[in-house]
Amino acid sequence: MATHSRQLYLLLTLIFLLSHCISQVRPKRIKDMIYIPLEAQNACFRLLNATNQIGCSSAQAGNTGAVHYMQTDDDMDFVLKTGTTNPYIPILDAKDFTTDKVLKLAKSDRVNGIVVISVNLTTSDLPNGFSADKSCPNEGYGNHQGCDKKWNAAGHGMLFEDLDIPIFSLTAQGDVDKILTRCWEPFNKPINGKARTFPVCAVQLLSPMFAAKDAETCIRRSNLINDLSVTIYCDPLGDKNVVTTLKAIPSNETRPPKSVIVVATRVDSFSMFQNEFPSADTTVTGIVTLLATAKALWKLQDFIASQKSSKDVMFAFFQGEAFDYIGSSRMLYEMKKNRFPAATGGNVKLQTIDMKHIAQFVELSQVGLRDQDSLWLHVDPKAHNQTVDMLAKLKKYGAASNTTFNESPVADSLPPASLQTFLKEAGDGSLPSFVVTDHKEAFTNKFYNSRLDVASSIGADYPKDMNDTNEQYNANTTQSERITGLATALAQYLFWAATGNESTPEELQADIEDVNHMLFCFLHSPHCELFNYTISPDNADALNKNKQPFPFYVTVTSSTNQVTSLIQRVLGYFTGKVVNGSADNCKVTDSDERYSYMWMQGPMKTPGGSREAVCYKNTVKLSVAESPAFADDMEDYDWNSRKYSTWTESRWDTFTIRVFMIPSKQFQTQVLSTGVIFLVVSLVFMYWVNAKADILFTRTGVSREYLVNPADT
Amino acid sequence: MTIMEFFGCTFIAFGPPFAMFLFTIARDPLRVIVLIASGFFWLLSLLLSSLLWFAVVPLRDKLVFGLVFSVMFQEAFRFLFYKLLRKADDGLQKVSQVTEAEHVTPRDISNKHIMAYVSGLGFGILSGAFSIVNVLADMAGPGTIGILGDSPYFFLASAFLTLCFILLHTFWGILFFNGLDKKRYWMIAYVVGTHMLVSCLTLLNKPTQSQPEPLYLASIIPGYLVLLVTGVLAFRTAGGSLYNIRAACSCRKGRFDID
Repeated sequence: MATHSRQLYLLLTLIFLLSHCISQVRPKRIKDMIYIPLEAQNACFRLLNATNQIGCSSAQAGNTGAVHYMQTDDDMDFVLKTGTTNPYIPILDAKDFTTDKVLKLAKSDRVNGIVVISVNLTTSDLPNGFSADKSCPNEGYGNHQGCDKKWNAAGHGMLFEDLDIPIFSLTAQGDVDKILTRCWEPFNKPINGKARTFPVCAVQLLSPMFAAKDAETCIRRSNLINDLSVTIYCDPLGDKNVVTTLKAIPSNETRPPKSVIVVATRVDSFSMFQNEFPSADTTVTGIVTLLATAKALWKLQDFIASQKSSKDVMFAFFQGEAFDYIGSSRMLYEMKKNRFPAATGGNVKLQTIDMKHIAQFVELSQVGLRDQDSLWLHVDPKAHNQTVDMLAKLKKYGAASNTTFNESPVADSLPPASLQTFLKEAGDGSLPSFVVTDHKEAFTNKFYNSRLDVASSIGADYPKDMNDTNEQYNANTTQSERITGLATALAQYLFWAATGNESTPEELQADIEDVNHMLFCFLHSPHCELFNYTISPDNADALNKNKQPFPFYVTVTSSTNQVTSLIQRVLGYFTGKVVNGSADNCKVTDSDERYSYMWMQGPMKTPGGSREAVCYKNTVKLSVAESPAFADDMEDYDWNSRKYSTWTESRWDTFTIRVFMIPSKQFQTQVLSTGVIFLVVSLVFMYWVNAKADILFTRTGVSREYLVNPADT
Repeated sequence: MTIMEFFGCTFIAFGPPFAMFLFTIARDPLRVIVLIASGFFWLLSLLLSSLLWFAVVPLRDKLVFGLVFSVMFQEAFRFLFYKLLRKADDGLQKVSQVTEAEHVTPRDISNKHIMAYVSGLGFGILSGAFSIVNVLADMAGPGTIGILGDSPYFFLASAFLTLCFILLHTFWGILFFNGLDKKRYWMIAYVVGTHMLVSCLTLLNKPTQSQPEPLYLASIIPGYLVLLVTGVLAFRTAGGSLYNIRAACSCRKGRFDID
């Protein structure tokens, strides 16, 4: 009904005076004749820490500028100096989206925003790499102060600049067509080298951020109550860590000191734009390796658990590590408060783990792009003596499964890693530990924390002629073979570290099919069999709506990320046991809180048919990954102490981008002055007519026909 | 910032009607009532036109069909309002008399042209409002028209045409009422004829295959010519003449001489 009345209204408006319709397509409103909206939702947004605001924001009403497609250096000069239709919003190709160019443009008063074309991104566009992160990621929050080693050589800290203009990324070909073929080419592209004049085509970028200045300010403002309502300006970054322990020691048994081997990796990354967080080498390689390792090691779980003297193994997936080690610092904080893992009060709980229980710490960092075809072991120099045996064992197991390990020559510092949080707490040389990475010195990953860190950059893509998703799902890639080798070696190593016994590669062989599946699910499409199998029936619809891989950005604490939930599920599936149960009783019933129960969709009964849900019992837990700076029991945290991460994300309403024409100032002034002249002249004229009405409308010399009694007037 | 275009076009379309309202209507409650009532009658004609448009499904896309019938409905409702106003003369007279003893007929009632003018303006303001408000509403944003190939003069043409129609309705009101009073039926024919003519001319604003650029001037120039002729006719009908204009332009003294 509403649409009918709108059409009606419109048609009548047209009838009575103007028939302003264009050709065959009749837009519903005048607005549709002025604006062409774009679909892009990939905008750069604002983050705030204790001292700064970083990222982008438009003005409240949006930023408007004439479109200029940057192709040569002359265009840079045109936009920054000579063009007359300023302000501009330059359109950049992905290869031109480099830190120096963006900063140069952002600093100019003549530039009101930037649009970057990100359709069909390939890493070959940027041979020198691109990273939104700093050259020293997480600088100042590890156990080394200062930036003595530039690990991330491709990073110039673009995201860490307060750009103060909106930047949008176009990932749909349709958007690019709209802005280039319907806006730039017909109206703005110079003809024979001659720049166009008004009217020109412009673009408006709308991405206003609520928060400003720094985290402390926006949190304080969010806590103010105005007019009995609360406005939230920013939220702390954070999510959940996923952890599981192999031995599940109950709270009524003691946990000996130095009896837990922590094996960890990080889950999150970031990039410049919302919705573009692929993170293939940055974190997916580590996550997949660790999950495959867990599955391999759990084959001998019964044996390890039955050994009285064996050590416990804890697998940890840390969230928020890209933003000054949020997940690991929170876990450590909880450990110190003696409440890790968290319990809700059953009779039997998992025995708590503390710093003193940790026997050694193994971390997987980026492991996809091997420098000199080898993995590199980075060791805390102060604990080097205690790790000699460990490294030797790992090298030995590696050799048996085609995986080469070498020690990194960098002697004085560790690459950015969650381990740094623990080393800072443990004190000098008391925690035997190492980080497994693919880089000898600086990162081999030239796209660390960026939107170009995609599957093809780590050799996890498929041959061009392989289009069937089912085939892709099961396909071996060079990367999956490497990860399988690494996972097998690591599982053997962990078995030795826990029990002191040797094992054969066959006993603890990681399954390459699982690795193939996980790489496909995390990097290509979440709509895959592994995720469908493990997910709860309630979430199946939501999962299958997603055609793009899930983002690896940590986001804010209010909800659990899809990636976190999926890791939890897959880990639960790999390490759990099927127990009888239905949807209703697939939960803790015997008040033994050591175990989690997951109700999964389960296997398909027939190919493509309905599924038979199953219940998995395992020890996988989520633990909070919000910075201790924002913890409920944290009192009077010194915001400038740099002890804990203080990153918050600003809230925003919408991201909008649309193209339209803008008239010259001259034309607008003419229209306005014409209007004002009309108003003033008619005011004067009507005043005169009214004042002289008696004279003007007197029929001179003749009787005034309408007057009943002429003498009365 | 085409907020400037917004105000420019608003002033062009509604500046003169605003001035007319301010100096000739606003101070007199009776005139305000008649203005609103005539505007209401115009709205009724709009309602009827839309019902017809809504009912005749196959012709919804044909602008000409709706346009012709809408003009006829408007003129029909102008006639109905005339009838109503004449029936209400006694009542209006009573309302405007301050005391019962007054034997003087108020000028508004005695001079029939005044109410004709007021009701014409009521018709004009409402039709003007409906024709340009949707344009103005979308004009205040940062953009102007043209990305789909529309003429940059679209807003300006809309504003000028709106003004033209508001003034035309005012003059048509005077002619139409006088024609009925004096049984000069050529006046009524003239009003209906020019209304149809100018409305149909606006069809030229729609670009077609053979003529991709809208001919705004082809509707605006004849529209304003008709406005001029109609204005002169209305002025003469209401008792104006060149002599009067000259008399009004001369100094005040002459006026007292006549009295």
